[in-house]
Amino acid sequence: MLEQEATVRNKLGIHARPSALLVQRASGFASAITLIRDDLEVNGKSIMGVMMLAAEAGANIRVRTEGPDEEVALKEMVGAIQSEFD
Amino acid sequence: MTTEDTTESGMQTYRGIQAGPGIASGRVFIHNPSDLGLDYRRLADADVEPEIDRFRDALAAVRVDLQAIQEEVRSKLGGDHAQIFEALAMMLDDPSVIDPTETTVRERKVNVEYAFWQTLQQLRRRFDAIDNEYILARKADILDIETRVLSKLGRRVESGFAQLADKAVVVAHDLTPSDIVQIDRKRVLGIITEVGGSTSHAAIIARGLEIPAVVGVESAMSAIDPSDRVILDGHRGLVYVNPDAETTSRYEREASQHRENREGLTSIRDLPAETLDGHRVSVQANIELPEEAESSLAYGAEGIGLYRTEYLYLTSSWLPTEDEQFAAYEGLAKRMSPHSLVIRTLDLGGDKLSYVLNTMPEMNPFMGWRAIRLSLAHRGLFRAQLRAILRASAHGNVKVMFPMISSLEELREAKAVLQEARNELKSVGVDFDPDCPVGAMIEVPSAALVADELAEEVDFFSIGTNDLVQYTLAVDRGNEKVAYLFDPLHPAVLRLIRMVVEAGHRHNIPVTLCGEMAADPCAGVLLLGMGVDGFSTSPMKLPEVKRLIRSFSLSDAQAIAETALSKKTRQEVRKTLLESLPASVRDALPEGGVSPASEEDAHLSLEAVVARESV
Repeated sequence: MLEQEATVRNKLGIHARPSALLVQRASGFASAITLIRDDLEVNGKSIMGVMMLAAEAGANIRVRTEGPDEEVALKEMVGAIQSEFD
Repeated sequence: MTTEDTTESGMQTYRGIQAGPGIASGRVFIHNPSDLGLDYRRLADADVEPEIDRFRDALAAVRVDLQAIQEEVRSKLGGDHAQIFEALAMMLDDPSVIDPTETTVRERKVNVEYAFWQTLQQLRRRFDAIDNEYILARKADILDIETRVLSKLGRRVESGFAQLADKAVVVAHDLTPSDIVQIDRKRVLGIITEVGGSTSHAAIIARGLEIPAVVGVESAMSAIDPSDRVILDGHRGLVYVNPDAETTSRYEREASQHRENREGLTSIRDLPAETLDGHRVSVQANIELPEEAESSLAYGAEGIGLYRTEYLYLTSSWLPTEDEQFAAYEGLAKRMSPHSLVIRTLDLGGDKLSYVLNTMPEMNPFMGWRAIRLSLAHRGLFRAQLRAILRASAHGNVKVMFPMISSLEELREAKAVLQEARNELKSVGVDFDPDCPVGAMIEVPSAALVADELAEEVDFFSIGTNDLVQYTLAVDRGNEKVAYLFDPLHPAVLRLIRMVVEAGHRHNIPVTLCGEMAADPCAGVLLLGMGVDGFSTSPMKLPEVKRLIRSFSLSDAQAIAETALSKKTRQEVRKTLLESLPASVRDALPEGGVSPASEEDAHLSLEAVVARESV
């Protein structure tokens, strides 16, 4: 199991479109992907879950990956959260 | 917000937020959308896997439907808007939707409709715990998915209103746009909801349809039984459950007085808005919903002076399509024809569109990214609205108006986008009125100060008094500590209005005034004397405005205006005006004259409330 912090960079936060992109990316990995904000833990492959994070610009999200491709999954998910989503 | 009080007779009183005017009394109808005969069945072991297959087939069928909608939106509005449906479609693949549903079916051996509903209920509860406007908007998405999937599973999805046979006061947790569409005014006496403020769907609808309503009555669903009778006071935001004899008779008296007053005014409805010396002005209605066309005409409106289009954007969890907008505008234009219909383009703060733009609340929304500024920043969205308006112009007497113009550059930019919309329609051979008049809303002091320059480039002005007053006087009338300063009769406001009227007339364009200021008898006579060409107010106020106009000659009004405009303080202005009113008008005033703050506050326009709530 791996964990790393990521900061939302997109100035509009993780709204509908970024949520969809994050979930699509997470769904491509075999590993379980959990996103954690404060005390809220959600499944990174769940659009409802990611929306529930309601993450605005500057929010810190802890990414946890566990499974056969956890290393590459962690790297990609952290990168995705910190990208500008354009 | 709710306070509860029980008297000896067993009457209970609840306090909420007044949302629709009027008083309603009668039996109740509890509207419970999640309790629509959703069946609960235990499954035999052999039926469990076929039940799961049934669920997956339903999801696949909804996926196909959503793809079709997405394609349609993409072709009409472009890819950005279509992506909203992608998020909706992704809910169908969501493990937090599918897994718990299937687990429930397998482990508890219950039918999938029940398991699916229960899963979504749990999600809704988690969403409820998050205080974020964007999340609240997502709940509409859940409902949408729920309805689509359940209907594929063969459940007849119908509104709970189908069971509403007799006249009743509807009690609901909240009302969705689809509920609202199905409201039958003949059967709904009033509305009580547990959630919502003055901009909730229920409140907007209630005001528009003049249905008495109280929203934000937190425990209404559990406190009110189907066998109860209620009195709902939409003016004061009160709900009486099982009212005692004294309360009942008090409200009966009030209701009959209200009726008499209205009947007196309706006799004036069909008379022209003409002064004693034969000067005609136009009286038109401000509306939020196309359905208000009927009541506008019933109150004697000679057109719609302000159609606020925000409602279309607030009712769904995604943007209205061009076709949806066109359908609303076209129907209204046809209904009002040959009278004119002024359609104001979107006048919202960005925070209200957070479900699409995901904007953040602003420190100072009134001065912020809103109205025309927002439209100019989202050209695709703006052009879609303008195309819908232009298309409607082929079917009636349609005019387009830009809100919150603050400079000539902004007006020119907006007109350039309008031209692009015209070119787009022309290139695909769609009909529209090439001479569809273009107007500017004058509600920012800077616009009033450059009114001469603006007048050269538009076909009409409409002065929005609510915003003009608050921007000029730097007063948020929602703030109790300073609300007393909010006064349309402040000499500074009057001088700005005079500048706008004079500039308009120098360039031969009509100047109308939108807002409840016109319904204040003091202000009405003054504005008439200042040369305002037309008044637009909420439909219910139109008979009063007409009565006022018909009790003056233009020359008298001009003399009164001249005196009032020479005054130095707002108190002196008001005193001059009050003294000038004929006894018949003065007697009809509430005791102590019209208090500006309370009078205006009772009729907060949608945009004012929207901006205020987002602070």
